[in-house]
Amino acid sequence: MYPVAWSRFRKASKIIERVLYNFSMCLMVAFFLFPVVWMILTSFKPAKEAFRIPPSLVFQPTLNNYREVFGPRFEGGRLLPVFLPNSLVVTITTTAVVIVLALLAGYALTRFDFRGRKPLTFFIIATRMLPPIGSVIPLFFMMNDLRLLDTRLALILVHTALSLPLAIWILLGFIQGIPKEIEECAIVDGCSRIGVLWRIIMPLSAPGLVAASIFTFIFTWNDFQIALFLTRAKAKTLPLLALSFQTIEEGVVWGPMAAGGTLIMIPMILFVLLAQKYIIKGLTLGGVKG
Amino acid sequence: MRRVGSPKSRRALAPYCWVMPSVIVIVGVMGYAFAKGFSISLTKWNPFLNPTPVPVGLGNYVKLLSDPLFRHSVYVTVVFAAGSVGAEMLLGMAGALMVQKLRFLKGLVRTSMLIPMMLAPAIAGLIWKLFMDIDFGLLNYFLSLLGLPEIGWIADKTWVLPSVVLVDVWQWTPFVVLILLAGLQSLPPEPYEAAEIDGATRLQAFRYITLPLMKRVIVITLLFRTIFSLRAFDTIFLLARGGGPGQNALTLSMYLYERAYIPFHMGMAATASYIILIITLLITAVILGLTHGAGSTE
Repeated sequence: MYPVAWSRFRKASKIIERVLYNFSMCLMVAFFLFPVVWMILTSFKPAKEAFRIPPSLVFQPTLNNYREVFGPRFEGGRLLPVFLPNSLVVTITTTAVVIVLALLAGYALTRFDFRGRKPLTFFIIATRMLPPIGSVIPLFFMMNDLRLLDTRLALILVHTALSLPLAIWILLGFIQGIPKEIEECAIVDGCSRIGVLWRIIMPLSAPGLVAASIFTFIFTWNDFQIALFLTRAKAKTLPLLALSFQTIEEGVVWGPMAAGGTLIMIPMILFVLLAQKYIIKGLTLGGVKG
Repeated sequence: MRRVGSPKSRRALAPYCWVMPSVIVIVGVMGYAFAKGFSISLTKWNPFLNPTPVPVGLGNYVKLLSDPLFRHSVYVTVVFAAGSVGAEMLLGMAGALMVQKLRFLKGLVRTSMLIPMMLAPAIAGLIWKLFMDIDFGLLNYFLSLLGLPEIGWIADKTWVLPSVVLVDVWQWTPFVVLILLAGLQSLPPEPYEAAEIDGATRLQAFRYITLPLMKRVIVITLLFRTIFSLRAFDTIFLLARGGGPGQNALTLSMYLYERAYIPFHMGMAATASYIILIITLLITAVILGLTHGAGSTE
């Protein structure tokens, strides 16, 4: 009698465990995804639906919120002609510069034997720990001195300096994984160092280059804080739009806010969907490797 | 390996040429900024009232450290960091263990977790502002469905800090899950097989195999999350501007913005920057000390 009851109990508890497990798994995914989905949905809702409680899941989708975001009401309609080009120029330039510099430095730090290599590597990595919120006021003074406040150049300089350590760190891990022998053969065959970098290191560390560029791109594109301190009008970037939805007359304007938020996050969601393999690789390399 | 001699000494300089561009950018920007910041922190300077800074020595540091609101903001920052990082580590570990066991849709779950952490924190702030609205927010609607009383969230003195912690947990738990998951997947299977033969329960296996083997990864994740939560700005700025009700979400970064930068007390702003920097470095040193201890047990 006893063993039968016991095995039934075991079986039942296994089923309960499975159900609980699957339930909490779903709960977890919902917790992470639902807020994002909800904002996207809200951005397509007509003004009167956005406020309805209980919320309506079926509604007539509209693009009014998007029209309004681009219109003169928010930031004087400068979203498309000013904010977007600023974001694109700053992000793309920063990413390009960071990748070139990080590749050179990453290669030298792994492959050359020179005095001060270890402390230099440590120094570069350690600058990643500097808190931007602690640096942004000093950076503000610096750009004020150089008459660079409210310029794209200031943003590019600062983001390059802030992103380089992580990019170098990621590349170090990838370049270390490339066998030295290939390069030695190439050098024996008369290939220059630059040639080695171009023909061997770059193709073989491509996933690392992709991961490093993605991180640089994402951090620069998403930045709110640096731009908040260092820009006033003509160099403002897209994330600063987040500030303009709190109006004095109407309080928070939900519809346009959801539309603006969706617009800024779409490139990042596309990035995640297209390049998640590299993102996870870069994350675990940058985060796990001591 | 030092190389001497004329043809080789030129080659010995070559590595520096490769590294220097990066070092020049980093040192040029950060070094200049921090040197300038330090000199400003020793002055009283309001660019609109008096164009030249007036030297005050360490006056700003004394003034700041004796300001009750500044001390309050240190307290808020510590509670915010401890609360969010603590919750993220616990949830992250649970999440990583769960995802590791997943048989189907592992990729889908991972993608869903990458999305919050890759969003601009400013946008995360907007999303949760929408969620946490007292009248139109979904969170209160869910509470009412469960028959619970509604909460003021970011509009309430007691709830504003837990609310910003919740948003931080939402955005950064995935980071902990993904890193710990990578750590779990690199663990050797042998100890677990041995434990199963010896009849160890899963809890025992976790306590005596997983935790010790994962110690290094856990400490590094903890370090990263702590450093990054100390510098949190964007979400708090959007959800609890000015420190929120009762200034109960006035973290150091908010203090710096609202109390020093906005009123143009530039000397104070620079001083606050330095204090944030010192606090971060101290905490980093403490946790790195722990990592070192953790590394040596391996």
